[in-house]
Amino acid sequence: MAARRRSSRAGRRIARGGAKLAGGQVLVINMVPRSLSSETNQDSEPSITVNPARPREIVGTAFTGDPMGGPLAPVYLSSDGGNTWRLNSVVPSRAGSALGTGDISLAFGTTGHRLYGGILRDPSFNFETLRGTNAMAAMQTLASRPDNDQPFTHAISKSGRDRVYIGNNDFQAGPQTATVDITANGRVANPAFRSIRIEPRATAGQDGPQIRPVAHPDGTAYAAYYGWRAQSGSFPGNTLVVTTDVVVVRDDPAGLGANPFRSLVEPSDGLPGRLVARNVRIPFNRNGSSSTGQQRLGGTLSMAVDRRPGRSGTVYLAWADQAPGSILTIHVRCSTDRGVTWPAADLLTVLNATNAALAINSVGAIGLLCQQLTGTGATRRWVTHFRLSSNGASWADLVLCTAPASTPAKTFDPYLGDYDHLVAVGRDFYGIFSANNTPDQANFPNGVVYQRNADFATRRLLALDGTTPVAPSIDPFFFKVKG
Amino acid sequence: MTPAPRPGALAAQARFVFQGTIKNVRATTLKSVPASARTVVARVDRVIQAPETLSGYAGHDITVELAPGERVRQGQTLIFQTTGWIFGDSLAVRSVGHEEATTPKVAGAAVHPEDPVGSLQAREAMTQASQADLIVTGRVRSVRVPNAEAQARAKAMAAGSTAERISEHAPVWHEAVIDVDETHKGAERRKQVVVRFPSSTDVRWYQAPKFQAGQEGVFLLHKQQISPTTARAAALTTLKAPEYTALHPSDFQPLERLPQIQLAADASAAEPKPPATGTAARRARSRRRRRSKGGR
Repeated sequence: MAARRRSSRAGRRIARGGAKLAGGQVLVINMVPRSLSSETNQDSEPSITVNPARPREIVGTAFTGDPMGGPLAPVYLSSDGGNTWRLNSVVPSRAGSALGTGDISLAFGTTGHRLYGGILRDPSFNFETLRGTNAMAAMQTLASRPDNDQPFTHAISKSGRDRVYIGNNDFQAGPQTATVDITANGRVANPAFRSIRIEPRATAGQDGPQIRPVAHPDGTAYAAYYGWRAQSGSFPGNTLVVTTDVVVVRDDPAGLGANPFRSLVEPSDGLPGRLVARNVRIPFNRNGSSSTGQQRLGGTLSMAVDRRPGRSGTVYLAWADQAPGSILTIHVRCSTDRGVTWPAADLLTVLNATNAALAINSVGAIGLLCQQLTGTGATRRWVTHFRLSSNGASWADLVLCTAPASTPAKTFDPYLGDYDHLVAVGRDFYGIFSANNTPDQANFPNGVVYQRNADFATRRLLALDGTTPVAPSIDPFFFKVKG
Repeated sequence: MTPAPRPGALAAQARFVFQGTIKNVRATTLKSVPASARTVVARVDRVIQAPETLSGYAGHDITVELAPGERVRQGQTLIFQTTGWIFGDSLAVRSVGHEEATTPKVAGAAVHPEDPVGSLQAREAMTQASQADLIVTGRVRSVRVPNAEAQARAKAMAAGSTAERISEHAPVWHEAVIDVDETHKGAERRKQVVVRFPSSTDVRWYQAPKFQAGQEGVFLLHKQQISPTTARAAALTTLKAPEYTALHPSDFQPLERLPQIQLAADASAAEPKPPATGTAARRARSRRRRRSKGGR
């Protein structure tokens, strides 16, 4: 008999490291709907956006194709605060596409219910800028250009206008490829996006794919990127190692002035962009391997600004580098003077981890989502953590999922995704990650709800008939932590 | 009057084809889909064509949104051609068209009557065949890195740099040299043909065939499937005519599927060819005969 377990139990929260998840409650949901109980796709690389004007409306994305291969790719849509999810195909794609879309990142404006995004569209993988009038509507392509990678969308509304920022790695701008596309008002009929080149230094032919913009309502806009300086090894040979700076740029007039993102100057060379870390090394994998838990590694980067009035100077940054004995090490640091100075010591260091995602809630608490590889050999596991701190000094640790890293075997790269995502609306944190979907309570120490048919007693997924076993795969999981 | 399935692009998009009985009109099976004059609840009696994930819907009630002007009555048993709509606690599909579910029509609706997934795969293979520039049967003699790329990479590595853009989505092109047994579509008659394919297992490319030496079957090859701009972005060199690519998962097929592919190729060719009579066709027929006798 198929069992759908609802086992969100705040009383079983794992809290280590001093800080408490005060008054908190976590909800973890497998987002695959019951009608797709037979699916075995690798639904990796998730992202999420919550409609601030209607927080019960949430949109998630992943490498999930339209189950019937229609001309639009689906998003995961919840209208009840994340308790239930359905697939709704609204993203431009092509008929017959099994992939749906390449990289995708969507963001609601703060008001007005409009949904913005950047995708790499199947099959061209052109970078397309999208807008939907609401979460249910088919999205419209506003602009399209080739030679790009990893669009990452941020939107903020002010005075009836939606400012939209899409970080992207624009190979057409090579060798200084780090770019943020910005429009001052996404609501107009034909919004013009301007491509801002934010890398002023010489590169090793290009920058890294992660370009992460974030903005404050007062107009302060930041972006972080990996400025690649040198390379060794071979990408086709899966031995490439990149020497890179971790750079933060800032623009006080919202990225809308004549020469945006030049407000922060690095004292050592007088160029725009503060070098938070210099000459760190990261692997840039073509393929994941057993030693990396099947996940390809290529750095991870996330930034969050305190969006409270008068707090635009407080910005948190998470990045990763490679240190001996750790496949990738996440560092979290904070600047309280608008990115001018950054302490030399980490507020938090996470070994053997990737997919860092930061958010700050309405009372200034900082959340970090990350995925950590533990164990060795056949005992390796991917452990998905939500870390929470009220001050950056002590961090609570909530384990959302811990699952074997060797199963299921990957269908493609990336296994879990080149990123996951965390946002905050009000006091609450909303996140999304991809993980092994075996219905085993031990894998979800803080409980989980499955929409798809699953039998937790036998730890088996079940098909629509409730009896036929279905092989484990990678699914997207939504979580919400009440602040 | 019952409208026939609509021809053309819409019908071609219908990947979920089923025989169903109308249980309720102006009804739905999903809370998120409000009932309307165009929504009906149908019991799926039989899945005729479907992707794997949806092949087990026989016996389940689903919501069908009728096309504008489409009419059905409670109790009717029909063949629906549909595309996806909402996938939630239940399933909602959009009708592209329907017809009466008579025995001959049900029998004729699928390539493999007892295998809805196989029927869809066969249809996709035939679509690819109709779009292919060159269809050959043969065997992969060798797989190699394109010479120009190998040289450029070696030179760049020696200089401590890289010759290509570094992207997770880089195709990492390889070439397969195919010894041709027979040409089934296309004007070229060659003993060998070189096909370029992405060796990358990235999400963009993993579905493309990954050829290996010794692989034998039907190769559906295409000229210039990617634009020069995209090719430049993704690799060292652009494709030069008459190089072929194989990017779709259906671009390599087992020999057993050759008769269907031949039919699709013939239909799409300006001057239809007679059914294949060469080595590969004989081999395929021989295999089918052995299978029917229980051999392998």
